[in-house]
Amino acid sequence: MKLWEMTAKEILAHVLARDVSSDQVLDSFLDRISEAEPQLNAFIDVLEPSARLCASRVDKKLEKGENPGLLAGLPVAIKDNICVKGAPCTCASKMLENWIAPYDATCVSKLVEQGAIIIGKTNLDEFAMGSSTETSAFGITKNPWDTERVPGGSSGGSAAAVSSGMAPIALGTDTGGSIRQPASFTGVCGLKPTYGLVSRYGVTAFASSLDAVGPIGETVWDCALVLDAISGFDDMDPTSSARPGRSYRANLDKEVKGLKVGIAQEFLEGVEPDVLECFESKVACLEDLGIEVQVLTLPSLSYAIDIYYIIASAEASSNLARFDGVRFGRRAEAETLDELYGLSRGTGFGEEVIRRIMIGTYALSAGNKEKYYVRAAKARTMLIEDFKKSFGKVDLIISPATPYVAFKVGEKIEDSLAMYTGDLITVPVNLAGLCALSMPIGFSHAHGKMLPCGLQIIGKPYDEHTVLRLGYALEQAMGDEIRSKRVTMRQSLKPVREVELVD
Amino acid sequence: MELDITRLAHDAGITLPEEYKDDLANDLTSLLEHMKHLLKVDLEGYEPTFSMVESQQLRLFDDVVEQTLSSEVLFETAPSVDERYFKVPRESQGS
Repeated sequence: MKLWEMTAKEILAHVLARDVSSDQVLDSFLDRISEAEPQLNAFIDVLEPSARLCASRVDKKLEKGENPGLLAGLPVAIKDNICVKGAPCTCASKMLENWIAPYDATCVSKLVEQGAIIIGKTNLDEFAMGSSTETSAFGITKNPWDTERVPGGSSGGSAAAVSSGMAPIALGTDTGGSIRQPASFTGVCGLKPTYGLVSRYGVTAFASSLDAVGPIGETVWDCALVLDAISGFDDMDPTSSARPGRSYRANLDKEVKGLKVGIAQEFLEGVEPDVLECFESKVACLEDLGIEVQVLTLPSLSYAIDIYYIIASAEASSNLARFDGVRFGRRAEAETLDELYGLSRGTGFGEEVIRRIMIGTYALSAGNKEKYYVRAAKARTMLIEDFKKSFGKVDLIISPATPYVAFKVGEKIEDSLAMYTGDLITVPVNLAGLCALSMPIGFSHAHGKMLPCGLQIIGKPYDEHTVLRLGYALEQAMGDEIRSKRVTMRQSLKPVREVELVD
Repeated sequence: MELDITRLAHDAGITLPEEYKDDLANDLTSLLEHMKHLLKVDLEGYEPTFSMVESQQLRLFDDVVEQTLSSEVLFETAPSVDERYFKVPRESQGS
């Protein structure tokens, strides 16, 4: 098996045993990137020179017998709305295409302190606004399972990179499902941590009461490892939690028998039959593990999409006001200051970002604020209380991670409402500040292709341990099916041969 | 519902590309139509949730000077600067 085909846990074991060097690990992934990237467009930048420096630093530590850190020699791909010092941070927008980050985000500096190698910056929907990675100004990322389909979004580049073997782990951001949905579409694991568990310093703000940074990895263990490295209070982010840290890997294999799991009926409405069948087969699997499954009702879920698109857009319209062509970003040629603001924003932002800013501006404008924004904020409280009531009865709530499998490029991009309503299953988690894992559980064959289906496991705030524990138990119970199919899929991503010129 | 897209774009500080105008107006109208669903729900007794920060965790920083990014570093990333100022066009065409 090549190094790029291994999970983070397997690579780490080889690096720590000194069977391979960090430099060899990096070489293997860079080779894989040159093979698969031309077909997928998952990266905006590959940071080879700085990655080589980091790898040799880790190797020197290992040679000297020093502690190389939790992530010794593991390449990590970073979503391009997270700052890596000295590298472009474009947010997949023309607005920031030449902007170089002057500092590291805290999550990045924590990864590097723990021996991770930042291998590149991954593609996303512009400013993380989208569910398909089609709104990027740097081209569409393709789904490795079927390159005619989207990888989901907005962290589509990170998910496609892990799924295709171009990085063993990646960071994404999740404002309404942007880690979980692409993880599901590409058949990998993605964790949206509790609001505040991971610092957001150095992460471009989209919607400040919803944004979270989290890991994407092949396995639940790999996600737990990254969470161990990046979670915890940060002086630079007052919204980060001061709760004491605990190892998320420590109790992964603890008994799950006796856990109570709820299924909210509202999450199952409109789910494609193949996806539903896959979900139901895993519910049976959970019952075999001794888990008590209950049916719940969360009536306020039917308002979640409206609440989300009002609140997220309102916060985005405020956060993105800073991109005006004065302090950073694209500047349009203009005669007056007002023209400079309007033209810089009008030419720098893409259509989806403009759409969200406009919705937010409308919802916050005089005469509409009470009707839309304040009302959505009240309905959010109703939703939070619904979840609290449910978590009084069960330990965890499960659902399909998405209502459908990866859709075709171009299929939904012209219909904003269809794209937005697809987020119904993921947005409530952000609105209620909960944590949730998306993990692959099987495949749909309904569209003439084998496409991954995901499970969402939702936990109470700061209960990542229980979420990960159930995910790990299910992963163990399912065996190697997902991995063996992933191996086959990766082999099919052959390099595009150059056309041979014939004399 | 009538939506003045030009006025809204002005409020958002965006000079709207002509090619977006019709699509955006249609999209915003249908999205706001969808949101009518929320306007009908009884929310009596619910306080609004504007922030997810646990109020008890907020704390004051110690009143000490700390090293942060220098202004030189930040000016380097600006589109146009004049020594220690961001350079912008005149506010108006007047003298």
